[in-house]
Amino acid sequence: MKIRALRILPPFAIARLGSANKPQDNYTIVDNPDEPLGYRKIVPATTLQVSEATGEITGAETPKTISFKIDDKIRPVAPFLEVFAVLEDTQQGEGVSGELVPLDDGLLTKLGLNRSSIEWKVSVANRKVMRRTGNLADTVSADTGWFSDHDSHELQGHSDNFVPGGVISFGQVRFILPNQEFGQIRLRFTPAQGLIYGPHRELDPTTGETDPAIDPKRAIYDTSKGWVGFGKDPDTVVNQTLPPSLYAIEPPAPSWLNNNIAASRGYLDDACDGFVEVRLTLPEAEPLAATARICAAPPAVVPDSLFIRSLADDLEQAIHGPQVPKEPYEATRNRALDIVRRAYETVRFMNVAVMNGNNFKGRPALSLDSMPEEEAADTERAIRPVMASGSVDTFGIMTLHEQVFAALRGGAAPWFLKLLRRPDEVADFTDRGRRKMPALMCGADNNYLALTYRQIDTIRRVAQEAPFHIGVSEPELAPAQLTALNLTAQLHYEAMGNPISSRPVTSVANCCPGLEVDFRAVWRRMFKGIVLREYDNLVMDVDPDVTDPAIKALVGQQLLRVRFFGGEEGPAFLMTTPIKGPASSDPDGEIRLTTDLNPHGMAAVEWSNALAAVLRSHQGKTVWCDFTKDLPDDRKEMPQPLIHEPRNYITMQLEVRKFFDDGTVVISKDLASEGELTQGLCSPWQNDYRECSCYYWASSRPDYINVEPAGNGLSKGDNWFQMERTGDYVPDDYVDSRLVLYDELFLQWEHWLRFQVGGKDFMEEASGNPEGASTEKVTGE
Amino acid sequence: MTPQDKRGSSHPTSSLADHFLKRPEMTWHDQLVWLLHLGATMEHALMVQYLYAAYSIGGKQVPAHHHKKVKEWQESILAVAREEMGHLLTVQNVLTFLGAGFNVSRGQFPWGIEWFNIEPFCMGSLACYVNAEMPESEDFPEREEIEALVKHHLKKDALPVHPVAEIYREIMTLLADKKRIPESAFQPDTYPLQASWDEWGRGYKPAPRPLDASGNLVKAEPEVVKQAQFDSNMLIFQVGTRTDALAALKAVSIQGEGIENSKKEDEWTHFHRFIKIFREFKEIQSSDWSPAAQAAINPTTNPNLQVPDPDGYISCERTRNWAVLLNVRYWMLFRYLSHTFQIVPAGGPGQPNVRAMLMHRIFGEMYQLKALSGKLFQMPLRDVDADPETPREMRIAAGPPFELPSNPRIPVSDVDCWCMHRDSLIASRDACNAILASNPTPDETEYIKTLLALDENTDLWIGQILAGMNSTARY
Repeated sequence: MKIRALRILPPFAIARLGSANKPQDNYTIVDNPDEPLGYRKIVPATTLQVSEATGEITGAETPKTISFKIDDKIRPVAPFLEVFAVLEDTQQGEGVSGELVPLDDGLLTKLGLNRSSIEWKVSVANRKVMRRTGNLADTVSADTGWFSDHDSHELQGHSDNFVPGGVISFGQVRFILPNQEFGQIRLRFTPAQGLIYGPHRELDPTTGETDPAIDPKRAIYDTSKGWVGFGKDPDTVVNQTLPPSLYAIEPPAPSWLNNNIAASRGYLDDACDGFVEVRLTLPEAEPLAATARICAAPPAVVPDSLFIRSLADDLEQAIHGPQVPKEPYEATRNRALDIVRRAYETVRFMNVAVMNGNNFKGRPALSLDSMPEEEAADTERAIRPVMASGSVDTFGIMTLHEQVFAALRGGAAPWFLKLLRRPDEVADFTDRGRRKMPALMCGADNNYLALTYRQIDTIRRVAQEAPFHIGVSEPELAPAQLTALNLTAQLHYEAMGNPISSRPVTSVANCCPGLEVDFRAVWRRMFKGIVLREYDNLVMDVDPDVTDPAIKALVGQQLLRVRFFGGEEGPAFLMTTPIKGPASSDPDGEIRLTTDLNPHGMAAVEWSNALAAVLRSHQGKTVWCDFTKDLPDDRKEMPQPLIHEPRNYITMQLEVRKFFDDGTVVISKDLASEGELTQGLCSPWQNDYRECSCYYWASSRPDYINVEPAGNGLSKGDNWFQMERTGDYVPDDYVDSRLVLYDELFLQWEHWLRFQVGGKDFMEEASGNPEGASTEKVTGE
Repeated sequence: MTPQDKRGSSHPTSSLADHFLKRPEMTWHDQLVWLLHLGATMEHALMVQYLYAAYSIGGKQVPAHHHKKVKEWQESILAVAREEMGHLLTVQNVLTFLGAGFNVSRGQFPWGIEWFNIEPFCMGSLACYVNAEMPESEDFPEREEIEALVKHHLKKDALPVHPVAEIYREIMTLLADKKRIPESAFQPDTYPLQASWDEWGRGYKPAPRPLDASGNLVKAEPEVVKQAQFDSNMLIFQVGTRTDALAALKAVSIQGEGIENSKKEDEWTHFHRFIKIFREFKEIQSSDWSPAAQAAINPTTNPNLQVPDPDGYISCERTRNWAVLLNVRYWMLFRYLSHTFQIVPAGGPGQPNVRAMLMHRIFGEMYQLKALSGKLFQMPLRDVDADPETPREMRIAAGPPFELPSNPRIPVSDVDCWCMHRDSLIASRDACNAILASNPTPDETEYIKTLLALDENTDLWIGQILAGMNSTARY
């Protein structure tokens, strides 16, 4: 028997930041059969106890209750990563056995090996500042080097732009000592505490006053370098992010209420992303190795709800392509039901009336944050509510979604396929376009959110086939096998001891910029030779090894289209879509919405959907890419259309990179190195909770909580960010003092980010209880 | 011969004018309202007829290579049914404009009528739909064939005249008559009470098209036109003037049958949709398979009802429990709908209001009707239909009865309306419990429990509303 390959599972583990001294107990969420429309039930699960002294697992127990905080400090999620072996059965020839078996002491012994043959290496980085300044020296990176002991290894983040001795701790990793009962080879990543670091300076040299948000021990950034004050002069910002200025700024904030002046306070955070590698040294053979990705993210504050489109959905599309593969009907139907369920799990946290662009108690909608407000600002058109303004109330809309779910559960074929927004319709701002589903939320391209093509195709397939399955007894679905070929099973693998919040299914995918990762970053290097900007089709750079002048000349041009063939026949995929709006003169008409900054009225579409079909069939192959030609510098920020006569594009043949490392579900290092999956996120991430509203990620950053029916037949509740729960919703205008503001978050984020369970504030035992909080306990019974 | 005697005899009836004669006890306003009630009744009946036919389509007996085509037929017929709903709402708006009440009746006609059987989709019923919607002047090759099929299906020697077009002609003629229907008959202040497309349309209309340089809509792409046969264009017009009302009714009648030279290129009339299905069905039909369930005609849960077709009684108790539940949900839908025409939207303009919340519930009930209909087409009509010994080709499924109470009127007072909705929830709960007590499958149990959870939430909601109204009445 030999080992053919290794795998680390899960292939993508999300750690969650927090400063409590005990990591989060394991839990999962399940449907509650007693409350079919209610919140999912949080169920405690097997939790591994790790000895601080030895690093071995001393026991596994299922807690009776689940708590998310201890003494008002959030419990970090510290995931385990397990090693598996793909065996080669020498009696039957090569590559027969595809099953993934746990690599443990027993297997090592059978193979004539031992634990000392195992080594680990963890490398992570935080490139948030570098992404803004463009200065590589602003990269904060940590690398353990190879180790095989069972001590805790701190991930010490260093940067050339820190003062001497300045370090950001990204947490610790530990090779868990296997023992008799828990013999599998595994590593644990314990993330950092969610601290904020900043410039090494006094705010006022005369008084010696320092920034109260930055503990002197964390004042590590050299103020003579570029981050402090960055952005004060907008002309110096070369490669803006989208949304722009995603960092803590000198007051007043936010910048868009203050002439777009965004001078950085010089803050950094201890979020990161990178790689975990394991290596098995073999006698007289090349070592075997495996890799997984990790990231450290904010806590999952709504643990019993899942967002309508998650990173898992996008990764499944990367695995399977935009169309549903041949699979049992019941499997597709279950996924369709899950999508609809997640739809109402999302909408119930939105104050739909406000998100719709309604005026609020007489206050104009333009003063409140919503997608219609964003749309009005981007298109320089008057704000319009999306749906009929009288018809939008959270309770009513949520009930409607529940009705849909109930009907589907009753076997009805989905009738709303045409009401789902296609990915190329994200900038359709006609009433018809805006009212498509998912409604009122922002997608990764900063326009209205669309599901993945694969999610849409799931609905399509069920809609198409449901009439022919009514009354049919569907065969029971076989449980998924964990094999080398079953990439989906690997993606969703649940390592022992890991709560569901460590898995991609709890990570939002409408990355603008996102919360756990900025998934847009992955696509920048999809085509060998060029580097695109993560949020549009502008070529920013070329690969270091490029010598071809034709490719070098692509910098500053826009990628307009990708084709499978050289001619006009065959599949072609546009990288932009027209921005359309209603024609004032004809209710049945539409017009192109143009502005001075966008004279063609075009919008880039997010890569995850735009390239889904390309990825499906052309990884490792050549495609024809059409770029603008000779686009002058002053127009490179203006999205360009593809024009055939006269032709405004040139065509280059480029190879499509592989998305995953071969045979795995690990996003290839060629696409994103350490720190790149999180570089587009806010710095510090706490700032984003203040600036990015719920219509970005409603069920991860909720808006409307403690929602109940009121006497007028409508809903009432609180804004999640209201400091005091009154039952009287406070709409978010970014500056209302009744809401948690920037500095309150920087100083006490763990207090102010209140967990929601059952749609209400979750009350922790022996902790400060927010007024009006639910006393509901999450138990194992 | 009385007008009633003329119908159903071998004597061809060329006009329904006799049935539309104004009785001397009525004013012209009464007459107009009565005709509109008839119009609403017919639209309602058509809608249910088409829904039944559409929901009957499918089942495991359809060969896989016909799935796509058969599904398209279902989509087309559902598109028509949705448009009939739009017609119904427009007629209700006109009634409201005239100060008359909402009408949800369906089966009460002043004369015997065979047009509105609810029956599964088949060549015969399809021919009836084609005949119902075809314009008189339309010349198409299958006309005679269609007429022959209709006579055969309805077991008539003569081709009965479908009343819909006639009714609309009578209505529009009278409505345009300023002497008989003076301006004082109209109540433009009811405009806010009327159903609007914005609230009810749900996006069911053609996609917007770009404008050309002159500001005219450019022609739709051929692919868009082709796809439009499966998409509804719900016509829901609010009316504030006589001209509005006439234009609305004209548009509605054109959508059904079309009128020569009036059909828009990119729109499909009901007639054109049905004839297309007919042609496609003819091409692939065979005695080996059926596109629809073999189900009852005019199913009913009431054994004592004097119905044309007593064989429609759902005698299998287990099935009847589900059929009762469907009827309850159907009544709930129309009770909510009737109530929305009485409630003035409260709160400031453009603010969420409870009337809109009621509207959402109406759509919710439509979804449940869809699910329940699907189930009923798989359930046996009689106990013998559930018997494995019964040959498959002899088994008859029940189908959704879509029955309304004999008195569909709702109370005048708002409090009583809310109490009435609560009554419906009790009826639904009882129906659900009857199902749970009759050996449901795990899937059925899951669905019923979900429905009960929905109703519990609704009950809470209504309780809050009544508390907010400080009501001491009834509940």
